[in-house]
Amino acid sequence: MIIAEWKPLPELVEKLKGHKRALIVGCATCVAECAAGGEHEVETLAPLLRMAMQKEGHDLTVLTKTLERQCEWEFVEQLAELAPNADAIVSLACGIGVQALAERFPEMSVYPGVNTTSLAIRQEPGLWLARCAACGDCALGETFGFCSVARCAKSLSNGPCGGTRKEGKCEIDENLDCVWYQIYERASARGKVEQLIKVRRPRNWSNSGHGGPKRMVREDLRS
Amino acid sequence: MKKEDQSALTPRIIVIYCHNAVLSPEELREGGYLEEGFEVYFAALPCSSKIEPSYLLKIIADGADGVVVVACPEGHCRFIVGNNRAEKRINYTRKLLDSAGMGAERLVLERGEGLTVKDFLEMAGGRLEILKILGPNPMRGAEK
Repeated sequence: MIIAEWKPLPELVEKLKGHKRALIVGCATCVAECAAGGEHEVETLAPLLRMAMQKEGHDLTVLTKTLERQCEWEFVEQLAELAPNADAIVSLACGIGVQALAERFPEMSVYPGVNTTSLAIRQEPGLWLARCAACGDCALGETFGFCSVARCAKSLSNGPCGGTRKEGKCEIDENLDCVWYQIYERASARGKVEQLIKVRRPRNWSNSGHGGPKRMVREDLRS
Repeated sequence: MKKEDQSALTPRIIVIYCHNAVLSPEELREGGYLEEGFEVYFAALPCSSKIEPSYLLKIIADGADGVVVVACPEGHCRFIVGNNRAEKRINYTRKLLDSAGMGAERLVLERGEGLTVKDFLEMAGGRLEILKILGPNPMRGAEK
């Protein structure tokens, strides 16, 4: 899922100064799973924002709505009647959702309420770990199912570096597993360590952000 | 809506309690209690873990000066870990209250069992001193 985390409250308060009616829009998909922008979080932020604004001397009326997805036009359209009742929108979706709202309501101020950080999995309740960097050249088949771009601090294609701690942790964070240690362990368990000796060539970064904004086309699906 | 005269406001405290922590649930009548110097309102939950940060914040954003959540003692939750979950959510909500400049002390967790109305009123009354320092809730009479 795409994961995100709340922006600091003072940042939102600063943006909303001068506005009278704000519409907080949640997204019930990825950001709901990571407890940043689903209905729970929308209904938590709404009173919090009202209080923070009041403390700064600004009366703010807050409206709320959570869409099934903010990255699909059919769902975004559900705001058509509600949005004109506000003079600003705070989106708790990932950056895709924020941009969709800004595109659908170009006359309104649309502010992100979260910082989108990564593609991650919920490892256990309350813990999300990055798993994919959307690099555009997936090599998971060569690294025994571990992504060294997203999970190695140096994104090494040929690891490990010299910084692996004795207990298999990364040198930058004792809570972070060294992914190349994990790759070695899984390869070893499967009796295929020799596959790691092969040098993996540099990735084709032109298929990710390095090649300019991504544009994917499927002519057979276009109208 | 015009703001009320803050200096004339009587502190309003909401007590949200786990009904398993109460000696005689029927003893708690609906509505508010007007005590010497403060008002108290009660709300029962089947377990303290039913509280959510959004509910607690909304209560305070709607004008309550203080909220007391009453959970069962540690290890005595009928649902094993419900009261521990309540404690975590309260701690999280207190941080949010601080970030909004409202003061974490507007929300507290109390624990107990076999509790009576008198106990609840004492818990609520015990908040008066800190609520006096925090001052009246600036949200009284504010826009919703």
